[in-house]
Amino acid sequence: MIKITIANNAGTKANIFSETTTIRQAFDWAGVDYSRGMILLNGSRIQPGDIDRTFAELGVRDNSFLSCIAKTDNA
Amino acid sequence: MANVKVTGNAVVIKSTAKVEDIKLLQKLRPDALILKDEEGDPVFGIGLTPGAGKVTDAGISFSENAMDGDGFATYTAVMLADEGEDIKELVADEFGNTLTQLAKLEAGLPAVIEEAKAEHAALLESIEIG
Repeated sequence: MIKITIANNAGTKANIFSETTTIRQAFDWAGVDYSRGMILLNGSRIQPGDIDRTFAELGVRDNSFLSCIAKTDNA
Repeated sequence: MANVKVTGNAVVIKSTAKVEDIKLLQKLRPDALILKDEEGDPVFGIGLTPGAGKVTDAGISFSENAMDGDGFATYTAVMLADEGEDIKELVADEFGNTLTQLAKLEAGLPAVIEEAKAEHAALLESIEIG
């Protein structure tokens, strides 16, 4: 089990997930729209094709930070 | 409280919850598998995993296969002790926090399991075939 802190522009939420949880399932639990914005897992960018991979498959063994931050302007 | 048994070099933690009950709660009451502190922050969780199971700071994953027939979720670890070392102390050092948190979480599970089973049974009852 791993504690994942999930962040987006609106704030953060944390929960404890099985290592077999996918990135998508974690975002769904947190109610985060992951269709827009850059996804980062512990600071490393996650490719869109990796969203259905599990934390274990992505090498996560310990408590981690997952974020999806969307740009809010046209910069 | 979970049962802990040492046999040879194996330490087995047997939960008071069955694998099938944990699977049911994962579907119907996932929050019941997470222990939270006074502020509502998650501190410990239980789940299932392929293999013998895994213990981390955040919780314990039991094996998704219940091998011994009674269906209770188990975690198995191999530990090596030095000759003359107090085995109970060794196990307590390694798994003390896990067992303490697990006991707190398991205390609330029977009522939730019964509730989820009743809900699931009612759901099945409502389904007509043919």
